[in-house]
Amino acid sequence: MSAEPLDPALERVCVQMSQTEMQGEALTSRDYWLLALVTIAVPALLVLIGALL
Amino acid sequence: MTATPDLAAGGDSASVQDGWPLPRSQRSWGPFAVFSTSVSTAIATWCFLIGGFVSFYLPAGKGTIAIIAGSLIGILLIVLACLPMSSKYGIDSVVGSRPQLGSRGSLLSIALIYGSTLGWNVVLFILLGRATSSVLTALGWDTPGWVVGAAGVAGILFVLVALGKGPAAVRDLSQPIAVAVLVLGFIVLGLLLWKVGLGTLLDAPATYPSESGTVNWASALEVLIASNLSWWAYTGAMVRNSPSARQSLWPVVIGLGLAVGVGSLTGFYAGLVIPDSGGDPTQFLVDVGGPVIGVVALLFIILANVGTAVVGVYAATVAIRQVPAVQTLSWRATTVLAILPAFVLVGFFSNDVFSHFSTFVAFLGVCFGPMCGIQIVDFFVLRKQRYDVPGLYDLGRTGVYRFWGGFNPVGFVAFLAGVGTYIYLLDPVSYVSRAPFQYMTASIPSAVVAGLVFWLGTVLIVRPRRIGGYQEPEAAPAHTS
Repeated sequence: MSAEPLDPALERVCVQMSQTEMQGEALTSRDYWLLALVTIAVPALLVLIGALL
Repeated sequence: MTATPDLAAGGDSASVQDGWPLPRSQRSWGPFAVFSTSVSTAIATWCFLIGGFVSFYLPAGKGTIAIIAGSLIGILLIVLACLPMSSKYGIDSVVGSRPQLGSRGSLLSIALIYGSTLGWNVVLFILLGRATSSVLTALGWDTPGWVVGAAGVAGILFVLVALGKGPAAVRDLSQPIAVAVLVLGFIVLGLLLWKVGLGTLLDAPATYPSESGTVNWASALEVLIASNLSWWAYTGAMVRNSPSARQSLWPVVIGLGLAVGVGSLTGFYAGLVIPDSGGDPTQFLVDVGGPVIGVVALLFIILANVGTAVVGVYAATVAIRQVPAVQTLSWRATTVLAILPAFVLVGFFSNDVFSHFSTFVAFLGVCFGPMCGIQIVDFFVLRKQRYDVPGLYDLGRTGVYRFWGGFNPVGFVAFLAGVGTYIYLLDPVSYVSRAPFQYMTASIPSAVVAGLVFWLGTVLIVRPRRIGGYQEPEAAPAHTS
């Protein structure tokens, strides 16, 4: 955590990472909906079923 | 909890070891690599204790459902906080917290990671000590209480020697251990069912339930949510090695989230049918499996815990090596420093520490719940999924994320607001809860409150001053009438 100037190699990598093609592929809206289904709707359903036991 | 995903990562050593951003072209992990590393991170003998904790509140049917539901809810926060950010920029959780806490404020993240890894390591060493004590007792030796602490300290010394050779010592340890612990879990489950029968298990009541059914449900859910929140420390370090967040999504949800739930079920069932064990197999394996099977299984637990602890101490060492003052120390000295508190806690206070496992689980929720809330709001709402990459590593006076002296007070106030919310809803020591805990748990509201406070503080205080890299909302076009 020193306050030294950025290592030139690190600076190059950082500049690279600012380009979209070097970044990781993002989640799509479909992924987010599926995630919500599995981690919100399914647990909610499970809790409802559990409450009926 | 304990994993060294970076060790197996592709890419050049600077990107991997120094936490530099990992360009997509250097990321070599496919979905299976993310999944197997996730499972090996999640599954260890601590899962028995997590499940045993749930047996306090719910019987077999309801508890099984609560464990699965809680593990899925908990991983949602982790996925939203870590996956899109770390996958997009190839960064880990500590670097990813600089836009919220400040370039120096991210020391808080290091402290949290160190605290959580140390806590899990201490749990492992005490379990190791208890297994050793049970083996000696089974062999007919008289084992006084100090044997647990002494065996735990011996385990720590062994781990220190193993790690003295450097990071290479831990390579490839965690995955076979995870598989072996899963197998052990099935064996223990089989032994339990053979001994007590399925009917007894299904009829067994919760061991220390609250009078309120909703509090019992919320408590069981909270145990799994909080346990899953400790993945905050590891998720970024794993998914940054994959070129695609889409490829990492389900391996993380299943391998980290669901795996800890499934792995906890044996401890949960054991806690129900052998209430005094709290799910800890070291306390009943000899009785249930007989002396031969019991001792063999206990010896296996000792070996597995040493292996997992080697990886865990390595993770704690890496965490504190990010502190400037520690970077001047040798690797061996840093390792000793990382594990020093464990000597005291395991050697002298093993029973007290073990009996406060619930407090440690609450600590995970107290700390990582607010962090998740803050990061989710910042990345998705305030920054529109864009970080200034050079700014993440610029720790000088002109750095984008320097805020005030390297710290963003709004981030810290939001964090404290989340911590306060959690403690109000659920006392981490006594586990006495207050409304609306029974409807909302504690981790989720603490994440929501921290995120809200962060959003408010940023909009009202930080953004108008044009610091922290926030873009002012574009002025509405002037209307001419």
